[in-house]
Amino acid sequence: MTDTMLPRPTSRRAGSPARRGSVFVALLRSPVGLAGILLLAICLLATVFGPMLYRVDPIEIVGRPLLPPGAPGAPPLGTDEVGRDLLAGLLNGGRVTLLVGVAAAALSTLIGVVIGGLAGYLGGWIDSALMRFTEFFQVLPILLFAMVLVTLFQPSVGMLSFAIGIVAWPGTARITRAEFMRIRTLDYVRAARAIGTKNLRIMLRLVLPNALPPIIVISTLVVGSAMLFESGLSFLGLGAPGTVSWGTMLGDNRDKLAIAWWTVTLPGAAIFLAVVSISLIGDGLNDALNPKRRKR
Amino acid sequence: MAPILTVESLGVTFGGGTPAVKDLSFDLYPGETLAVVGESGSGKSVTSLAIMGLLDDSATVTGRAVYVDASGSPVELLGLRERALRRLRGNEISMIFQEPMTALNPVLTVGEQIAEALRLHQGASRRAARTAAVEAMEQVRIPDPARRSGQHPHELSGGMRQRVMIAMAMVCRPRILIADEPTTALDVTIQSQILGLLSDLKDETGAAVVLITHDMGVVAEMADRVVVMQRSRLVEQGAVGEIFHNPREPYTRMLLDAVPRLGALAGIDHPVPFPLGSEDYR
Amino acid sequence: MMLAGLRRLANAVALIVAVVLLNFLLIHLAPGDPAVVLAGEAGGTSPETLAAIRHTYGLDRPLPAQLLSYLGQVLHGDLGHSYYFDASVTSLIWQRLGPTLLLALSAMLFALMLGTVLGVTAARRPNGAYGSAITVLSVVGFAMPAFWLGSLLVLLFALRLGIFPTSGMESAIPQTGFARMVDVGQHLVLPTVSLGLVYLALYSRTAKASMVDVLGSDYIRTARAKGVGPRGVTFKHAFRNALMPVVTVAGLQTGALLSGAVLVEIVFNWPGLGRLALDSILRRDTPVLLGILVVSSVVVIVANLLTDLAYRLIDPRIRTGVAR
Repeated sequence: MTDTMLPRPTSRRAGSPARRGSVFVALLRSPVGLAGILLLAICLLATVFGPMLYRVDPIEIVGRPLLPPGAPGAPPLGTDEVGRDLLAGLLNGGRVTLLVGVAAAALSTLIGVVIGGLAGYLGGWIDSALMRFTEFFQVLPILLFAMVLVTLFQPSVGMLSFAIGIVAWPGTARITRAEFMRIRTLDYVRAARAIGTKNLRIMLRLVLPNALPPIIVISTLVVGSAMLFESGLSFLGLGAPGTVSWGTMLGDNRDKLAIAWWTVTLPGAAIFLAVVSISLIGDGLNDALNPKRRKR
Repeated sequence: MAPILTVESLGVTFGGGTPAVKDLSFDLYPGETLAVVGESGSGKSVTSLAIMGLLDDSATVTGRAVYVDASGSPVELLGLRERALRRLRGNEISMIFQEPMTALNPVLTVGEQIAEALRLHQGASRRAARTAAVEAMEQVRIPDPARRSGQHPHELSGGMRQRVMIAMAMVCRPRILIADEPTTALDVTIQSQILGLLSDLKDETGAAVVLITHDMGVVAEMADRVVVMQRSRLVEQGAVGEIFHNPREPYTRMLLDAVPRLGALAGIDHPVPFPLGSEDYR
Repeated sequence: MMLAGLRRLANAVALIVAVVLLNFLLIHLAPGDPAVVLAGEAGGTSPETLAAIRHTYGLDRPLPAQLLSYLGQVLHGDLGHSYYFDASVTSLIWQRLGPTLLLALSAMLFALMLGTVLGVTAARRPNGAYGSAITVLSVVGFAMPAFWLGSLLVLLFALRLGIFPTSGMESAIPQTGFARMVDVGQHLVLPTVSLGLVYLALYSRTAKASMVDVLGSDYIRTARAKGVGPRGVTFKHAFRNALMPVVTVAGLQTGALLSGAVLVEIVFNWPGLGRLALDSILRRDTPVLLGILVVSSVVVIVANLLTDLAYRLIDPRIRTGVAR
């Protein structure tokens, strides 16, 4: 009888294959989500397979500097200030941005869920203390802080991901906390506590799977923010040395804006499209996972 | 005596689904209390919102609802131009709602919300309206009305908020008051106070009251005539005495039976299920 | 209310202390000798200079004592010394703070006012052309890097169309009085839009959702039942209630806004903290960088206090301390 009394998450909860499949289908059905996935697919294909198909070294000088796209003898998208192929740069530059975006978002989600979950579920002084901590990180101007970190410690792709990840978590933490607080009061959680289930088990098995929808949505958006963040740092010249990302291209060519607009416009467009795709997926997920909570 | 409101074949449908109200007809006479009874979902509230023109664009309203205004001319309420409707609302026909917690604007003082009705419909000056609002609060027996009128809704109890709603609705001395489940959200002791207040105000102003409720006890206490609704249709109507002593329809009988009677379980020492009624109900 | 206000103030002070603490930690956690870190790579690494730094910052003393003296220094307004500029950090920051605040404030006001108007207007017909336009705007605004947008705006409006200046805060020829205000204003337009667009997108979306929410509430139905017309409903009844989530969101974004200002300042050569920060990074002038961190954190904390104040003014429920 005790067996049946503990409500177990049914297979319709997020995280189990059946549910994940149906979420993906729902995502494809929403026009916004579909557009996002298509766009992201294009970006991924371009950055992953592009360099293999278009075998031009982005660092190698292939022509005269500052050739506009379409000029005779120029590569498809022109050359930058040194004479490097812009298209090659675009195809190769996406990797760092996407990698850092995903890594940073993963780190920030981990931190945010742990902090927010503990605060929301346990409440009391733990909640107050953790919220103070979160408030502190929200007050800190994150770009400046990341700039400081990158200056003091050696910049690298890992360092960049770390620096972004440890400042981007407050939003996730707040949403997680709100969800945990809401779910904690629901009857099936109360029932589990009444029969003596350990807190950790409740949090991991009962609360977390049901809190996932908004967490997933915001984590997706954090990927986009992290990519913008990385682009910003690269733009300032603080990117990982030896790598070329879209932000770096934009930053290096900034002063050539008046005479070579393509060197600035095109890398920026790449960043824009990639982040738009992530943002659309996030919106699509929001619609797919919370049909009642349409925020439009 | 001629009716002050005549509703004929009223029908309300939302977005092409099953109708919320179907072919409803009843009359309201001046000075009487007409109870509209039925379960949740029977269409009672929708009926009153349709009459007031407060349903949104997704609702299709058919039929007629003729109101005889203060000058004696008949006005067709359904489909009336918004500006003309606004002149009647809160002025000649008022409505109070079920949830006093959420039905008052949290950022405005209660005095201001009452005064607004006076300024809108009687062109009163700010000061005159403010004074009249305090008087209105006194009439609905809110203690210390001068101080309370400067407070915000969250500083008042549920019962007091409902009194404010009543004051707001009655301050322009409407000829019809529609009360949509006014006491359902309140404690039992407060309920009887509010009902008593409504009854007194009705006597003082001569307003006709449409009392929407699912509670037959309230009907017995307040109503002169009763309209029984079930699932969007009118089932039975008549004087309250008739309905209670000689209910003709099985549904009406079922509603009456659902009211627990003191002493009904005398001698029985175990719980007894409620009588669910005849097959007609299902 | 006094008690709550004092508590907020104490909280703010605690946050500032925490930021200073963080700075202290960073100086000591960074690889290498703290004295070298503080000297920066300005070539001031001669042993005499290092010794002088050690003495000034008391780096020979035990950590807790160092922390206290550092705290004391900062609270007295001494943020250290820049060996590259050979000036006190405080004075350097003070010179540049004004333009940054000007830019940040105008971007915030731009986003808030225009965003609220757009959102509230779109709420009447949430799925109409207007409403969809706002949704599109929010996706576009979020994804657009501010530095790219800035460059595009300069390309279009400054270089090709010549309507606005390309960079800087003032023209080469110094102006005075009213003419100066106009001059600065002209220079302010493009940076403001670049910085503010993403927040415009966010606030208009929040305002719209909030207004739609409010318009569906019970008290609006009561107002209509009372005979209040559409203008009264929108402005008198709905607006203040709808404003609150927008204020919340705006308050949370102050830190991000300030960060964004750094990027935009660099694109537009705006004489603010952004340029200073970037130069400090390139020269590894750590004291300046840390000083900027402290100052900008303080600005954010003050902005949060003001947001709190705005909250109290808008929502009477908070004034009397009733939980919603």
